[in-house]
Amino acid sequence: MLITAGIDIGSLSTDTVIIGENKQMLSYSIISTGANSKKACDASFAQALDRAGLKKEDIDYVLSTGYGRKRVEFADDEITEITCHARGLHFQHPQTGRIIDIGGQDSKAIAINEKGKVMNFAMNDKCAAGTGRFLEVMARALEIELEEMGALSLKSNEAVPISNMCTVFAESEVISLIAEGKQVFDIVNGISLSISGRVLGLLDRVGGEGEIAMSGGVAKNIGVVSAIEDKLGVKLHIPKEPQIIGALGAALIALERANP
Amino acid sequence: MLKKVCGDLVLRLEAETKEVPDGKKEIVLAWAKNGLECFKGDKPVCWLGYNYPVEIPLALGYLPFYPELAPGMLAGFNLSSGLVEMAETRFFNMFCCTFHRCSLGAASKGIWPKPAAILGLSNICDGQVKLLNLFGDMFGVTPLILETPLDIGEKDVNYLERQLRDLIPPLEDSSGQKFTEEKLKETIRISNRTRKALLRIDELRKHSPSPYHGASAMNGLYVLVTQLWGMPQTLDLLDNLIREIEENETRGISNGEKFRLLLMVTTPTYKTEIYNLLEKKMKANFVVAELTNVVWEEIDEQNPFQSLARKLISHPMAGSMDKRVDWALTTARDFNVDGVIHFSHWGCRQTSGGVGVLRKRIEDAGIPFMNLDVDLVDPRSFSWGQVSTRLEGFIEMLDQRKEL
Repeated sequence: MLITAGIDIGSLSTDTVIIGENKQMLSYSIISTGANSKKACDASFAQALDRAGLKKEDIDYVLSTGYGRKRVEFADDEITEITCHARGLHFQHPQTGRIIDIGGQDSKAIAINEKGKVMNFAMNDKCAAGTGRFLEVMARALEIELEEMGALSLKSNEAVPISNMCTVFAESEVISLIAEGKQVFDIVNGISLSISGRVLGLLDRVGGEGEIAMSGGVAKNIGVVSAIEDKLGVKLHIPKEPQIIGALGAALIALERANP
Repeated sequence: MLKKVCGDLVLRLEAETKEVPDGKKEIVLAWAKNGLECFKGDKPVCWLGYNYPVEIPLALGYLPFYPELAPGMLAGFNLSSGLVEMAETRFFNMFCCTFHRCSLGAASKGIWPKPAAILGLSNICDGQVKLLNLFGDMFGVTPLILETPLDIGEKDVNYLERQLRDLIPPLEDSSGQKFTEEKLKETIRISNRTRKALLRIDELRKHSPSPYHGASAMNGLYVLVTQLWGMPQTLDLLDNLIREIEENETRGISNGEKFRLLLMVTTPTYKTEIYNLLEKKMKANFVVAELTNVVWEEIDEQNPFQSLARKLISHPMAGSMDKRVDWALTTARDFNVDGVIHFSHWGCRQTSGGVGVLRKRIEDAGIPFMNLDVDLVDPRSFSWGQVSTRLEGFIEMLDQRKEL
């Protein structure tokens, strides 16, 4: 049986997906990237192999993606996460026409065609505003867990607007808002709205049509998802495990290459 | 610092080009030699803004020096960042253009050769005028700024023509040379021959695969077009270059070109890895570039002032965005490009201000377009991971669109 793996090394998490020749998922792994992406890559790959009951030599083709894609020494090739998210989401939800991906280091919008091919894409500017890192910094300033943010946001009836675009200035702004006695959930709601505004700008830029799906770790944040849905006026398709979409896409492309 | 850079370049490139002729290196060598000449003090040095009609000061015996463009050369040697920081002490904050900030830092440190005249024009970059005025104060030289109309009606051309004629007396005063029509005709002939040679190179670059592209084409032609224009030595340089390109084509030298790209503005001057990534890994070549493309008619030597006025006003980067968009669309079709990559320089309102219009019109014409926001001179804010992902993603997208 032909077996391939996709490894997505992002700034916050490193994800591996292993699939068989019928595109069935054999295992996946998500671990924190930390300071050493190579170590994280080895650990994620080892965990996925272990979960699938496989050895490294059982894998016919490994394709790496994400910011650390060039550091995977054992990969057969590498490709950007833009192409991989398109392929992964199209496979899971073929009706997808547009994708919002908010990862740790960047956010992007991708327009795809009915075959899952990238027709256009746009990414955030250089700064961290509108990314997972932005949420992480804000959670730290608010002294709450990142995972709590989504649920907290939904408790708010009135968002406190976050006016600063820069993550560093926004952090100071949030600290000032706490000092002014603003409710944490209202601040979190303001943060969700700020991210949604930036992402919708990207979505508008790429054009395209069809259902909108969301991938990346921030898709697990129900507050951000609701803020985007409210502004768009449509429901987003959120995959069961949005963090592994890039790795899944890489594994699928690896399969095409291993079996041309 | 600049003098040392030029001196080192002359020593190294003279030896290298003697051993193996190389068109690009010969152009950079000519630039360095001109730089050294500017420090000798034998001839008056004229500071010029980007796209200035250099034919006039050349006819009066000036050596041209481009303080806005020289920072790009310093950045190539990793010498720009400290100078950029220095400019902040003169109220040029981080949102101002780093070509200008670096130049101001260099002028403050006495790195640039001293100007006898300072000449600028207003229709492409508003920052240029302000910077040159500041330089005027620093060096006690009154800048002569052309107020360049944005439309090309007869009145506009006449208005600019009068200003060009009015330049002669003050330029005669500061150079100590008398203006003659014959001398101007001579420089215009060189300018026209240079233009013709560049058109020949453009014709060759239209071939598929393009026999001349990427880092060689950009570095060499960019320096020649923007900083050596009108000088007699450019003619031999271009003849050699054309011969080299024709030989490349005959010998079938190619990187396996899969994608042809139009470059708008220019790439970061300190990061040649962009070309390695695009050309070697992605097989994508910049086959034509905005800043090295011939965009004007031949200058009429019988009517030089009016003809130069027309050249300045008709520049696609001056005036309405329609001109720049039309140029981009026509060029993209002429060179049969697969996509357009635009580098928006931080702090440059001229290039980034119109990028939305540009993108829409180019994409509407079915040509993929990507904009990258980067600083072209200061490497401190450059993230290779982010830029390389966007470039690779764009080429992957072109590949997927080609499959349709």
